[in-house]
Formats: sequence, C-alpha cells, structure tokens
Amino acid sequence: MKTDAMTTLEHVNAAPAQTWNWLRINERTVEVPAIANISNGADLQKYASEKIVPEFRDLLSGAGAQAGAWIDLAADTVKEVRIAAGTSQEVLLCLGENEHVARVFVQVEAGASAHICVLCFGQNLSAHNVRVLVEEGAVCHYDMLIAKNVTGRHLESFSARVEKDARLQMHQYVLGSTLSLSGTYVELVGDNAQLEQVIRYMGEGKDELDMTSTCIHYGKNTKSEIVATGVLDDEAKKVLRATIDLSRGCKGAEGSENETVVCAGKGVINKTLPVILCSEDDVAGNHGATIGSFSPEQLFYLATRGISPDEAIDLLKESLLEEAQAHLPKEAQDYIEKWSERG
Amino acid sequence: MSEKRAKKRTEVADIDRSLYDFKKSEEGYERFDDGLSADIVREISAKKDEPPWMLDLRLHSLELYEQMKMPSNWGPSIAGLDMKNISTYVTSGSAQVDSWEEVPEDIKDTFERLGIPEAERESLAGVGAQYDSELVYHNMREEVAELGVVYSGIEEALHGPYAPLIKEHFMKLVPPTDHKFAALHGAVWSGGSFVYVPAGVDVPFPLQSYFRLNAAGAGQFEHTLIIVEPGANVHFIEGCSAPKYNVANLHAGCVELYVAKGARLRYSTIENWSKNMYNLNTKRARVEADGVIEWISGSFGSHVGYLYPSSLLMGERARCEFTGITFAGAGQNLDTGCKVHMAAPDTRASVSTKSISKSGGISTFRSSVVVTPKAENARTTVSCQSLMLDDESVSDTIPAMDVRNATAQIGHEATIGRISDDTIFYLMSRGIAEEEARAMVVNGFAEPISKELPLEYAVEMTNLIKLEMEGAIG
Repeated sequence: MKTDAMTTLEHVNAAPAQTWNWLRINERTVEVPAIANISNGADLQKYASEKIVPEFRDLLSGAGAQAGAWIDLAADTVKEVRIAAGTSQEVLLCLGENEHVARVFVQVEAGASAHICVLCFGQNLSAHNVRVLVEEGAVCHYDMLIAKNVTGRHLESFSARVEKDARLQMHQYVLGSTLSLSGTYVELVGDNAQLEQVIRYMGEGKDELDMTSTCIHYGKNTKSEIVATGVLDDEAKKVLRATIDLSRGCKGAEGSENETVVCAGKGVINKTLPVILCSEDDVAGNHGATIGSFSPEQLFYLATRGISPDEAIDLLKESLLEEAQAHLPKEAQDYIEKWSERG
Repeated sequence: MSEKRAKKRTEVADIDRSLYDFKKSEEGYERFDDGLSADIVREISAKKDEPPWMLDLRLHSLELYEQMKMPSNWGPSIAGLDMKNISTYVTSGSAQVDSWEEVPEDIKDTFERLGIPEAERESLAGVGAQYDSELVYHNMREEVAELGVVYSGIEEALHGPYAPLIKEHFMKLVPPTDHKFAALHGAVWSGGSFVYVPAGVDVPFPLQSYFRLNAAGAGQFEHTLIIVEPGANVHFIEGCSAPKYNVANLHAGCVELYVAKGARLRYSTIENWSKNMYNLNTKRARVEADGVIEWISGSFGSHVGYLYPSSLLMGERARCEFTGITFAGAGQNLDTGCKVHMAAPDTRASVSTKSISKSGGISTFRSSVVVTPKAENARTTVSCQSLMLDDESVSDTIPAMDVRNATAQIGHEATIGRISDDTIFYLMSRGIAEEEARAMVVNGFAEPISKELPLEYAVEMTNLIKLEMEGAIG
C-alpha cells in the first residue's frame, strides 16, 4: 500500500435518504492511497467483487460501495470464519502497526454465538470491512474500539444480515483518531430479528468523527435500538447519520434511535441526521436527539460538590473510556494494556 | 360562519370536492405561449411597465434558471413537469379593483364560492384576490389604512412611493441563486401582495391573500413582500386552490417577510392546490432582535410539493414558532417541513409538525436547524409526529441539525405510528361508525394545528381532512 498516488472515494458513509446538499451532511469523500492502476474510486468495485466470499456478495458495505471495495482490495489481513451451529467463538482483530487493512467474513450458523472484536491503534491509516451473516437463532456481538490518542485515520465498514430470531449486539467506541469514519449497515431480514447498537464517541483537539448507521427492517416483529452518546471538546467535528427504515411488510416492527451529545469546546461542530423511513403502518418508530452542554443548574450542583466544569467534562470522558475497557472481552483488554504500556 | 357557507361546505364534504374543483372558461383571456424564453420574460416586464432594474433581475434570473439543476439525491421527482408545456402568464384582462361589484362576474363567482367576500366582511382587515397571473381585487378597511398600514398589489406598490423600499427588499431574502425555482420565480413573477406595517401598529384583524389558478397548464408566480416595522404586529393569511386538470400546473411563488425589532408576524397558510399541481414555493422570514415569526402551515393539496418556510433569527432573542400539518393522499408526494437558522444570542425556536399519509400518499418531513457560533444560549425544540393510515403509504422523517455553539440546547423528537385498533374499537362501542371514528382521531391528531387558525380556517381544515378521510376504511 506504499504509494504516493491517491484515490478519492466518494459516497462514503452516505445516508440512504438524503437532504439539502448545502448542509454538507449527506455523505463525504475521503482520500486514500491508490491501489495498483486503479485511480478511479468507481472502478474499485469491479475489481473488488472477486475478493468477496460468494455468500456475502449481495450484502452492502456499511461505509459505502467504494469504501468497501477499497478495503477489500487493500486488505493485508483476510479472515473467513464459519462458526458452526450451536458453537461459540471469539474473533479478535487488532489493527496496529503490522495490520493496517483487514477484510473479514463471519458466518454465524444457526444457534451459534460469535464475539467479534476489532481494536484500532493505527498511527497512520487503518481500515476494516467486516461482513457478518447471523443465521436463525444465532447471536453475534460486535465490539469495535478506536483507541484514545490514536493519531492516524481509521475507516470502519461493518454490515450484517440478521435472520429469524437472531440477535446482533454492537458496541462501538470511537475515542480517538484524527479522522474516524465509521459506517454500519444492518438488515433485519428474519421475523423477530433484533439489533441493539450502542455508539460511544469522544472528540478532542481537531478530531473529526464521521458515522453512519443504517438499519433496515424487513422481517415481522423485528426490533432495533440505536443509542449514541458522546462528548465533543475543543474543536472536534462530528457527523452522525442514523437511519431506521421500516420497509413494507415488517408488521409489528419497532425501531428507535436516540443520541445525546455533550458539546464542551467552543469550536465544536456537531451534525446529526436522525432519519426514520416508514412504508408500513403497523409499526412504531421514534427518534430523539439532545444536543447541548451542562445547564447552569447542573454546574451549580457539581460546584457544590467541588467539581469544576472542566472536571465534569473530564469525568464524562473518563466514563466513556472505563465503559469501553469494562465491556471488551478479556483478550482485548490484555491487548489494550500491553499497547498502553508500550506507548 | 354563515349557514349558507356552512351548507355549501357540508355538501362538498358529503358529495365531492366541488367547492374547490370547478373550472371557468378562459375565453377572451390573454395567454402567453407555453415555455420560457427571454422574449417572454421581456413581454411580462413590459406589460407591467417595470423599472429597468426589475427587467435586469428577471433576465439574470432566467440565465440562472437555465444553468441550475434540481438536486438528484433528494426530493420528489418533478419529471412530470415540463416547462415547455407551461404558460407563465395568463390573465383575464380585467383591471384590479377595490369593489367586488366591479370584478367580472365569473371571477367574482369563483371567489364567492370560496367564501372570500364574506370572510372579508366578517373577519378580515383587508383582502387581495389573485386569479391566474394578476390580482383582480384588493381592498383594505379604512380604519386600518388610517393606521398607516399599506396593503396593496406589489406591482401597484412598485409604481408608488414605496418603490425604493421594494427595490431594497425584493428577492434579497430569497435571491434567484437560492435554487432553480427561485430563479424561475425571479424571471416570471407576476402578481402578489405588498404589506407595510408602520412601527408600533397592531393590526386588529388578519389580512388575507387568496390565490386561484384557473387556467390549465399554467403557472402562478406571485410574490408576497411583508415588512413589519419595530414593535408592530400583524397576522397574514394565505389561501390557495385550483381546479384539477389532467395536465401539470405549476406554483412557484415567493414570500419574503421582514420582522423588525420587537415586531410580531403570524403567517398562516392553508394550501389546497389541486392534485395535478407542482407546488415549488419558497418562503423566508428575517427576524431582528426580540421579533417573533409564527408560521401556521397546512398542506393538503398538490401532486408534488416542496415547501420549507425558513426563519433567519438574526437578532438577539428573536423567536420562531412553526406549526405545520401535511396530509398526503392518493397520488401525492409532499415534501414539507421548515428551516431554522439561529445567528444571534438567546434565540429561540419551536417546531411542531404532524403528518398524515393515506391511500399511497407519500409524506416527508424535512427540516434543518442550524446554530451558528454567534448563537450563544440558543434553544430549539423540534417535535414531529406522523400517522400512517394504511400500509400502502409512506411517511419519512428527515431532520438535520448543525450545531456550532456549545452553549446551545437542541432537543428533537419524532414518532411514527398508526391509529390503534383499541381506539377505534372503543369509539365504535360507543356507537360511532368506523369511518367517523377514524376521522375523529385524525382531527384530534390535527387539533394542535387547527386551534392556531382563525375559526373559519380551522373549519376549512377540518373539512379538508374529512374530505380526505372519505373511504378511509379498508
């Protein structure tokens, strides 16, 4: 991947339903090193198709077609994992100094259980494209951490198809990185399929966070819940596009999304696009967003306990780090500890 | 409301949409060729004996229109609208008058059936009535005129003492560069109203403009300019309707509202265009310190609608309240909502919308809330509720927020759902027929909007919902 030539990837993290272009919120472009002779982002898709395991070919990439294709082609790490019916397995992927770009396919067979964990420590450019098939009655946990104080850029693409009675639980911690791009796409195709997605983020300095989360309900009585919480300090910029699509036929489905953002720095830019698309009447969809900072009353209360506004923000950030640390599997925690000691 | 008028409305509710859907002959009317050209633009300008700056603006707008494209990544399709088949100027040729007696018989009959003269007598401070491309009637109560309030046709005002004021404000809030149909409006605008409310004047009754597009395959491009000086207060009501044709009609009006320090303007609209109409209207208000803009917006008609009244809160403590309802039925794709731009400290905005989708109708709520770095302690709440009446329809919610000040507090909530079977069962167990029960629930859903309207218009809105709800079972 060592090359000076660059390729521009377009439609990265695109929201499925878009709005006024002057808001510059719909999608973005990103510059990445060119691969071989392919200088055009659109051409990447032609060459990438052969890299995809056949069962996953009709599953979209979470961060967009061009971004997904670039990761597939640039990958220096490839994992193809099949978790047999009724069994359980952990899949750990650490994108540090040696592994920069990874292409991962995980098939969680009926009744099986998977725990996929992706850790990103790259000081340059790292990326991963994870595709998951969660078959009938299976459970899949997906955890992703972009560690604090990472100075590089990271591109995450995650997509999953969730079958009948299956469940996908996602925890994404975007706690650092100069530029974090995170795109997820989940199809709830089977009846009673469920998605629980927790996004925690923190932006400091001039960090730039760009996140898209899309969940499409196809099956009856499917459920999705997307909860995002974050702190933005200094001059951090953040975009979150969260879409719940209640498509025709998903009777009894329920989808909800909620975001709470604490804006702490005077130069922060926070953009939020919480979308609900609905083509079915027998459903319930709701979204909420709260954007702001501590109220004078809250600050007064904290002050009476000896906590200054800056310390309050630090406590919030600390809580995000501790939650990430506590949530990740043991093997991942050990890895983070080693990485921290080394750094 | 008189019995006669109530009876007419009841008949319409029971039978058909004839209150709005009746056509008048165009015999003897002047109609410009379909399509758009510099010659047509010059002809419109010459007809109105405009100052040179206006012709320049028109021709510049035409150039922009030809260069600009519609966005390809959002919004309903307007593929069925071909400007080559739209006449941009149609007039009966009758001069604007200030007495209903002098209005030509067939046009007068139109407005009488719509209840405009009667409403004027009963509850309005002034009325303007536009028929196709030209105003045919404009009048204001003497006592309101004595307060110094100006309410006239904008073209008439362009030739009077307010001409410099109009030049200073015309298409400054909505420049022709804003979007393709703002450019089209700049090129071919015709008719519309000018309102000037002097400082400290409280206009006791609402002013109303009613726009009727009778001609098939025509466009209506009226321009409304309202200037409310410091401390003044006025309520302006806008109504519109058209008979249904099987060819496309176009409405690309423009509304520019200037609300000065401490002034208040309420702008109410009940839009009931026919379902062959492409409604690509632009409305924008600029609000200075301590000023208030209140939007009440009901969208019931049109085949395709793009409508997002926007509020620029430029002065400290400026406020905006937006209350809207959209009802999308069969064959309708209505993309509605609002924009709020907060650019000063302590500004406040409250947005509350409802949308109803039925019989394959598509309703999209689209909004933007932008908080600039200057908007210290800005506060906004956005609430959006959508009701799906069947599984053929679509209801989308696309709100965007861009916050660039850490002291701002923004709250947003939205829900989508349907009328629960339990509610209908409960009402039916009390002897209410299913269709009526559903209409009751929908009217209850819309009640927060209708209560903001004057009684006459609230009744009209309720009747429109009733009309739309006919045959809603199944």
